[in-house]
Amino acid sequence: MTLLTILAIQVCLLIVGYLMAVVFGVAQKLEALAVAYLLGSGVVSIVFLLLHWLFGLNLDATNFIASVFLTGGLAFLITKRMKKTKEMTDFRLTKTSRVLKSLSVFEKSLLILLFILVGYTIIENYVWPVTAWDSLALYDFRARVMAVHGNMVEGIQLGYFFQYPPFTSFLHLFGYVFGNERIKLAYSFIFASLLTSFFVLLRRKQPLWIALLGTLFLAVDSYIFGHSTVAYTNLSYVTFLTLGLIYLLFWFHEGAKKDLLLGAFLLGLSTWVRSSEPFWLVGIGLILLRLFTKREQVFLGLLMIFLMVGISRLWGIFVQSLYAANNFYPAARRSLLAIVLSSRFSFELLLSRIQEIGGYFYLYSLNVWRYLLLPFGFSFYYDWRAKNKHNLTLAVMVGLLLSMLFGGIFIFSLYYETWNLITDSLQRVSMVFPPLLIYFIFSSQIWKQHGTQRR
Amino acid sequence: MKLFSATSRKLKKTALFRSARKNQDLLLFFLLLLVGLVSTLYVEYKFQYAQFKWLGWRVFVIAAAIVQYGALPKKIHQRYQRPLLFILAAIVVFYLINLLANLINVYHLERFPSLMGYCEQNEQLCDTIVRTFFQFKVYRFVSLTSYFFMYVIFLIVGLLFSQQVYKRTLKVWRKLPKIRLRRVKLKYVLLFYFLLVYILIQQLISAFSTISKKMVKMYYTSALPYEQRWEQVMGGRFSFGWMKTYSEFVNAHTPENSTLLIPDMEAPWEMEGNPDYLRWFIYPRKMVQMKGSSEVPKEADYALLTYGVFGYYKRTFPTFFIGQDQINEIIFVNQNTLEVTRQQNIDYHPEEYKNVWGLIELKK
Repeated sequence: MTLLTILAIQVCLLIVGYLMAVVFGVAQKLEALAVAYLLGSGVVSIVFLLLHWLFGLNLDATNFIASVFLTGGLAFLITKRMKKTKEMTDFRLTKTSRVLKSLSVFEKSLLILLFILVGYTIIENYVWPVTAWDSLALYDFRARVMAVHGNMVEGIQLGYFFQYPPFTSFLHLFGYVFGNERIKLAYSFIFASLLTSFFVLLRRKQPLWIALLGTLFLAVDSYIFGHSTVAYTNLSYVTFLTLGLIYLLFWFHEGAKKDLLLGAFLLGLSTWVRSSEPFWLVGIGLILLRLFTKREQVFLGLLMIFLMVGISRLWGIFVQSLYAANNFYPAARRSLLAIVLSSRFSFELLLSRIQEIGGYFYLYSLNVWRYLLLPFGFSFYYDWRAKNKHNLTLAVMVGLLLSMLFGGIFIFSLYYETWNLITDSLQRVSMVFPPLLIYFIFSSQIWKQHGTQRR
Repeated sequence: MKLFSATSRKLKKTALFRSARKNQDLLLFFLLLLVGLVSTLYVEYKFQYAQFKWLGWRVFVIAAAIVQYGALPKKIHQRYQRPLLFILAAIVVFYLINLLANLINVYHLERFPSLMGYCEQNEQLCDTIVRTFFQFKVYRFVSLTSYFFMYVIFLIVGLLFSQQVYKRTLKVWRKLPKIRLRRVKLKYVLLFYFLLVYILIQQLISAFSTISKKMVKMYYTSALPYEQRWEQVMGGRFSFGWMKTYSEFVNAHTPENSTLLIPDMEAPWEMEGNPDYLRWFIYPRKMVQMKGSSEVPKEADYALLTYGVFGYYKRTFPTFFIGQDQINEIIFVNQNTLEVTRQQNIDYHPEEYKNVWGLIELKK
């Protein structure tokens, strides 16, 4: 019964997300399934908060059911109007078995390894409870408090409560409100979504075996795989952010509307998981650049930017209104700009700090993705020579993300004395690089088969 | 010098040399394979606890062996396909036996009453098995790490698919447009292919070894009720897992609206002295800390009596004397048996409470 309940909750989110993917114009079932959980969990959790905030519904089972029906129902009505329901809900197994039979032994082996990895995370997440430090300190704790009170008022007294957006806490809460403790299962769904979406995106560029090989590379990355069984926000964040960026990259070069919608939604939702990192701004930059250069889909592009900014601000506005409603006025925090402007540094000190940050960055950030540097170098060389614009844009994006990370550490070092002691945190933030680098390597021109039939 | 060149000429005429030259690719493969296998056995034998440190180097050799094998002619692959499959099957069986031996924990078979009953009736047979186990050092096999098996399994899997991937990579490379690499073309493709094999095999070994190790732990924890698993997952009662069991004791002996005096967050109280962490265990109870003060805060109803869950360096908290005029009672919990005992009308002297856990109920 426990397994059925927790699965039912995840399947509800999956169905809502699937319908949303269809609304966005995704015409391939595998792609719709791949992003379904991400869209479903992200949007339902936002509606869950909105119903609580605007209509006074408690954060409980009724609210969850209402959020699912509201979002799912709306998406279903739109798909009905689009007359896409029939073909997208035809899940006959004959086609799947035909596809499986057509795979070579090598491809089947890769697929089996992927299934074993995802299957393992499902077992571990079902069998073992939440034990990770940060989760107990914040993400899971919040969910337990909300499950007891049905609101977040208690969080004001508890202090460390509102520092991160509530996405993963809501995923936990969805289980707790139905009396189910096996909430870690959600992380397996996120892991599976990341892998499937990554495969789908890679498959657009490459033959099946390369797409599968690249996906396996991602699945066994020690940080990505490690976090698939840890109730932290990092895997969810990396999933939303990297997939969002890759979708936007496709839109940037090919201009398909559904890529813009998916990319913007996923990128916006990344700020619903973690709002302190500014990486999502790279996506906004990409949208603006295309809008300026091509002058196509201007309204939709601006709307998507508005949506992303809206999602990124939602949590902050909610927390402010909660504080105000409870007559709580926390001390105002200094803005980053004020911190940077008020810092007095001599040139020598600045150089030595940059050198210090470089060493720290080399030891703890590079450590996460350095194993990919050589193959990345090879691929980059060929993409540069072959003028592969798709990958060269991605390389610029990775460069921007790296600069942001480096700059972020620098600013952090200005106002936080023990800035160089949070090594774990830097490593976890650096998890955004492996998916992008692996995607770069496996979508590179180095693999291109010109004139051969793609299967 | 003349003697050397004469010997060299003679050597070059021998059948062995001619054959070796003809089969130099095959020999190189066998050399790499041998170095890879011998090194893994050596590491397994000598450095049981430094597996990961050596992993990169060993995988480097086997990745080279896999790439070299891929470059060998098709007839060699056809010849070795079946033996490789057979070896793979045998290693997988050995691995499963090893996993089973670890799952049932062969050193503690007294946990199985039916087996003990059987051994009482067939004492000689069981004795022989136990003697064989120790005489032939079968325990060496049981203690083989999952890294060892994964290393060999992925080596063979790599060999089985080596040529297929090698050919595809080569085919892809040949069709690269407008890029001329002159004579070094083959070397680059080999290097790129080698890098990918190296990374993939290393990551696969690491991921699957982790899975293998966790499976054994998971087997034990899955037998427990879900609420008791936290302790086991976190290393058991005499490790970090004690945090949960100790908190349950605290929760059982304090009302929900009480305030607890907890240690400051310093060694060895990083867990129970961290209010943001501890609250997950004892919510909705409130916490208060000394924060350098020498007086017990007035709002405290209870004080944790802890010996430090975290780290090796242990110390008792509270670190200061509390007179019996301030204490209602001290409630102790035995870390081993979870037996609870109480004492009234006593002073608290920290030096008398080493490796002791409990609660001090303070007078208001």
